[in-house]
Amino acid sequence: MKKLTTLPLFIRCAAIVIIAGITFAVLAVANT
Amino acid sequence: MKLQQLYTYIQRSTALHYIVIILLTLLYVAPYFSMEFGTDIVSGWDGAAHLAMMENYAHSTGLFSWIPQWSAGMIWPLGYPPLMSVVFKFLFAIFPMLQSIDIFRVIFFLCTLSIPLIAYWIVRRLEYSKSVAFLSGVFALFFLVTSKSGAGVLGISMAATFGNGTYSQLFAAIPLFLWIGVLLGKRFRPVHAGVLLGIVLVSNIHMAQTACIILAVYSSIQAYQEKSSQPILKALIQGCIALGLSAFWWAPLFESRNYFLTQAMPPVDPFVALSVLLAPLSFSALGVWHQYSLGKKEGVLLWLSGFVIACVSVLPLHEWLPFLPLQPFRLLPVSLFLCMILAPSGIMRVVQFLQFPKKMQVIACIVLVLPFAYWHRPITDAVGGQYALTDAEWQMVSDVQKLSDSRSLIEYTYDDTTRSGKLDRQPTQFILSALIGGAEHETISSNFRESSLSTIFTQPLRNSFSEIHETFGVYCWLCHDEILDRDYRSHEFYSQPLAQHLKRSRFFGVKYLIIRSDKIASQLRALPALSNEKDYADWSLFSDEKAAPMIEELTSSPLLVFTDLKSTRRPADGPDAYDWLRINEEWFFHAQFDQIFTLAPSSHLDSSYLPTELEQFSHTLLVDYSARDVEEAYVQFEQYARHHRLYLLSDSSDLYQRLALLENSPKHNIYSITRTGDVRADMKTVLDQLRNEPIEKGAWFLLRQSYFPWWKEIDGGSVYMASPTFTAVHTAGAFPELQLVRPQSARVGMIISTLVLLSLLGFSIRYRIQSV
Repeated sequence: MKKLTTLPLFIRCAAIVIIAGITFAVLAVANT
Repeated sequence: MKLQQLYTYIQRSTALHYIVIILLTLLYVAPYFSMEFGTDIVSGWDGAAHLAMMENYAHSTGLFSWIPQWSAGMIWPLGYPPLMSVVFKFLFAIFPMLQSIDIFRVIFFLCTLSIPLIAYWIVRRLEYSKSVAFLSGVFALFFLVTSKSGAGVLGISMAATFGNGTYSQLFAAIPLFLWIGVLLGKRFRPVHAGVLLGIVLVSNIHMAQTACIILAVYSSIQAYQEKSSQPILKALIQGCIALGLSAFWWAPLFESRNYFLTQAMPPVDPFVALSVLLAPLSFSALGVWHQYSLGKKEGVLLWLSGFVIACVSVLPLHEWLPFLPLQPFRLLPVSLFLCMILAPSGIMRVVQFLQFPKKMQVIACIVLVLPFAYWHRPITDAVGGQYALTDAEWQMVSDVQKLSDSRSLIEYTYDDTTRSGKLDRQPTQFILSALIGGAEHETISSNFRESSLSTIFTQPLRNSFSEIHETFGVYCWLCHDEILDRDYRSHEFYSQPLAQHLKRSRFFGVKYLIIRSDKIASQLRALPALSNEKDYADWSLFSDEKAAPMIEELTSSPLLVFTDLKSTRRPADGPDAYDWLRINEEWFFHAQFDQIFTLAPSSHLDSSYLPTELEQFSHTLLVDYSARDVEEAYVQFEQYARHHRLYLLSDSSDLYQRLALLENSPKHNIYSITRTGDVRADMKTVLDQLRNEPIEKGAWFLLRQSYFPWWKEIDGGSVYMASPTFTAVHTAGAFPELQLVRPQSARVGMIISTLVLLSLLGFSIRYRIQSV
């Protein structure tokens, strides 16, 4: 867990954006 | 420092959270409701029918009343959970100065508004943080405004309630969610939980089924976790309280269950269920398991309940339990709701896990919330817009409403082009049916199909005068059920000439045909009997002077039929397919209405009532040969056949074999007909063999109202179910007068409910209830 704080912030930001993107894609499929 | 204080206040103030959630919900739903309140017709496929039924019921006396206006009459609210009807009856009475349509809308506006608040409360009961609970309230709002509604997830959301018209499901969702909240926490409140569960039972059948699944999952997993039987005991206590409180409804319902129709619907497509649930299910799983590791274990129980509901909704239960009124797509909304309100805990977990600096946490949260926020369209699009009638349609409603003591048939219309060229995407037929039938006049169709056995006949009858055919919610062998893909030679029925369909509508007492399609209207114009046409722009009103009266004196003896009454598991063909409704479907198909059938009150041939009652019938048909004492039954019918005509449908039973041996005896009038398994063909043979036996006047009357066993003749005349689902009365020369008499089961049910209610009140007042 501690190691995560050592990861560059932009990688953590990218992770959030990727998760949000996947969620968006899944929900978009659900809404069709 | 002051900013820090404000931040802490925002985080901690429950009242502020509630207010913000209310404001957010208002912001979202107010534009829709302001539009909805400005219209004359309640939105939703079933909306107009719901309001019309509530208004009608409000004018009746007693808990269960006879509503004659739709589907040839039905008892209300016995076939459906009664609470919503009772609540509106009460509200209409205490607010006479308000219009019923406004009361109706305000109640569902408040129900909608309270869902996000209850979500916040449930998550707080799980002891999750206030930030998570706040976000759960917001996610409940997303759930409400999701545009997904229909075959996949139907119920509770605004699209479902105000688009599909599943009003009672939203109504029942409130006590269901409150009950879920009460279940949580260390202190068990048996009275609160039992009463709320009882309210769910009498509010909506789909929510009651959902509650059963949740209770089973919740208590069994809790018992497993705690290695104790106490959770099972708690579930039993709640169940007993709920069943006791609702006994006033289910006791008479259980006794008369054969008089209500059910249809088990196919499961939800697993792909649809997965696509809808995947994102909230995954996030909520992350959240609840993390909270579990922190010692807050109940979130997992809720999550598992939601998961099991989803699993149940994709199982082919309509094949395994065809007699249950199970509509899997009506269960799934609760699964989605639970996952949605638990998802924020997962979002928080992801943000925590990635260990963002404190200032960035809010931004990260917003990024993850945004996809869910996107998961809706403008509410008006999701709901499907407001309904309206044209001036000509309103004029027609007003004119037809005045035609008392008569019945009309309205052509089914939906998603078709009107005569004026406009595409009509509202269920105008059901709106007209609700408005016209709500007055003195009757219409043969209704959205409340399960409450009247006559629906099996009114659906195909209405379809035979409609360009588009529709059937829903009941097993009907004359219809083509597109949802279940069930068809039994419906083309043979529908392809009959319109004159033949007219014969059926006349028998059904339909005096007015309200037709929109040019095709049907021009066919009707060609019939000389229907020259009296009135034009209402898109619609034509045809009067049929040859329609049968609502009460008719029979001139020939009806045929007494010994068979069973089944409302479910009715096969189309085969040796076991000859139940009352199936026989009458084919009787209706052949349209030889000079022969009326009546159903023997007991299918047992040796019942004690027989010797005297049998004499009322000059001919009898035996279809079911069950008898407790075969010898007694044989002697009885051997004697009967000496002076009356006895028709036998061949069977493998000993009784049939013995009676059939007398077929050639000159002393007996016995006619055996081979049971081929093809009900349609066999009924034709029966009808062709029957001979009209004239009877003296004033003995038999046919009432064109649905039969229900609560009907009793006040002078002691015999009341029977007659073809197809009407009521026949045998009187001693007097005009029949019927009254609805509550059976013993209704009285016993009411006593149980009252006793349970009183003991709970006494218990609550005298003791502070401690955890079991």
